Amino acid sequence: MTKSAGPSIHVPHLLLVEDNPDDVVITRRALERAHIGNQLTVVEDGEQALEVLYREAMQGSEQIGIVLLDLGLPKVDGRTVLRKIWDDRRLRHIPVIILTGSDEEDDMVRSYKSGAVAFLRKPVRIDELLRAVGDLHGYRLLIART
Amino acid sequence: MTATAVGDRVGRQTAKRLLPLVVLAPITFGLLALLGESRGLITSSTGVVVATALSVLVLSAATLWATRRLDEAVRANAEQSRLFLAVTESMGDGVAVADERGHLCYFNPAAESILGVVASDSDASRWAEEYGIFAVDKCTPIAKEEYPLLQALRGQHRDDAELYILNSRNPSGIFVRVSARPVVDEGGRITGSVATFRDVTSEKEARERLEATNAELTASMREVKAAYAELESFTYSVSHDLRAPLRSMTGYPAMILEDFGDQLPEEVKGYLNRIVAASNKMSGLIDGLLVLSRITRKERIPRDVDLTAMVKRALEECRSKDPDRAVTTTVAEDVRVVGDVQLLTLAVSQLIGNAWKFTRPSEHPRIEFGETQRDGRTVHFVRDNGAGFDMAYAEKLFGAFQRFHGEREFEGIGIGLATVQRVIARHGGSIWAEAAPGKGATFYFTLPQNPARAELNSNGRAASVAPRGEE
Repeated sequence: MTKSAGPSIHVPHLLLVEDNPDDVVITRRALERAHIGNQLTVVEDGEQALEVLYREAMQGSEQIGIVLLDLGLPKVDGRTVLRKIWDDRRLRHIPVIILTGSDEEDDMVRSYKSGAVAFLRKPVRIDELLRAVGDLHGYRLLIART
Repeated sequence: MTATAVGDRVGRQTAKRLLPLVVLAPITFGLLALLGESRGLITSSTGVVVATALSVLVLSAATLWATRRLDEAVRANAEQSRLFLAVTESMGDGVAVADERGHLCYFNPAAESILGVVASDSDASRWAEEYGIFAVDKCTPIAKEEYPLLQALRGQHRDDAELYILNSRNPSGIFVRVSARPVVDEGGRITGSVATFRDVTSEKEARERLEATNAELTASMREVKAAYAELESFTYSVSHDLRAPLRSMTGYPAMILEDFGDQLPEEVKGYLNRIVAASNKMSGLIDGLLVLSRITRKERIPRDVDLTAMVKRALEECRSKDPDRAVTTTVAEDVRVVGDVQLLTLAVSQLIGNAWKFTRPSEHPRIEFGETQRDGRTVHFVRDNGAGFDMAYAEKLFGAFQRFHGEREFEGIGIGLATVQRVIARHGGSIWAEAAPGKGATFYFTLPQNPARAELNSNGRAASVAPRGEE
């Protein structure tokens, strides 16, 4: 974790879906220290996450550039949110990065199968996040074709 | 009805059939003499004698021929009767025969022995009383029309009907399985019926025991599955829910140190670092638990595994992490087993890692991997000349979170050998150790062998692989 160096790549607006307030604090702080914390929306469960995304899709605004999604969430869990984003043509272009406490291989495999672009473990490491975001250029090209 | 009785009757009948000829001869003679004299057909007495003799001869021949044919038929009949008797008297199944009226007329010895009584010429209404025959509920007498033997008498075929018999011969009761068929004559008329039956009590009891055992097994399986599901959810909650507060416990002290570190006394910083260290340790313990549970849950995919290569890779890894240490290693070549690559990699790197770790205080550290034969089994081993341990604690060796050395002496959470033991156990193998404090330890383990190689080994070739490849 570097204190001074800003991101060398452009990080779009993030939607953090996280129910644990401590994890929100830790993630937000990590983003702020990397100077990308000002582009952050936080919601506490899957239902709210889908609400935000559907509202955006209806308004035609493309503010949210990346979803940072926890898997274990109240109401609608992260796996369902991931699937719903992937199954919705209006939302599919939004890359989802899984940010979870789980290191179960099964969770990882299923997440990638459901369209996640990266699987990161909490607490978030900015270098890993930036690498995942940096890889998104190729992802966009791929999605644009499907 | 016996075979000798049948034979006697044949002789008597032949004699009876020849009797008319003895009577007929003088009468024929007299008649011919009278006719010859009155009609002048046969004048001389010599002629009469010749004619008489001729006709008697012809008649006798005809009678004897007919008798012989009859004898043959009777003999064939007797032969069949003897065969029938030999069969029914030697068979283990009971045979009961009923006549046209439905009265019992024959029991074979097995029937008598099973029922404990001889056939008596009585009506079916008295059978419950005489033979102690009941329905399988052990108390309902059988209705007359439901006896298989009597059903057969009405032309029905009965198979595998079950009855219960409780009488003085069978005071604790037996179950018999009955099949019955009608006996039909040439004209299609039912002239009786035959029932065969056997004692199926032990078979039935065995089946009931088996069913009871099955039910118990099913119940235990359900319990095991429930426990397993519980373990799954426990593991999941350990993995996710216990880790969340731990992240806070490591995260916040780290933030305090980063943001306010320069304002804090060294003592406070030291305490905060201890919180972080303890949280990290707990995180390690949780990881260890998860590794253990994953070994149990993971699907095992057996294939041919090059254990030699696996050991060499594990040693290489230790060496790269700890390049300053000079450890002499000896690895037996071409040791192959059948197992799951992921699980075995875990076990091998754990065993080698342990050997590497515990040889740290040794002056000339040595680690050896090899294969040997014990009680006809191929046994693999990892030997070191490290710290060893007291064999008095050997049974605790493979328990989770068991440590034989202080944390300051050797790092670790005491989960490694438990992991190895589970991996070996999941392959149906066993693991044990021989050691002495300060003299090193040898871990022996067995794993499934490739059948072709196992044969090679049992033939004595390549039985004991001499350690090669001294590095």
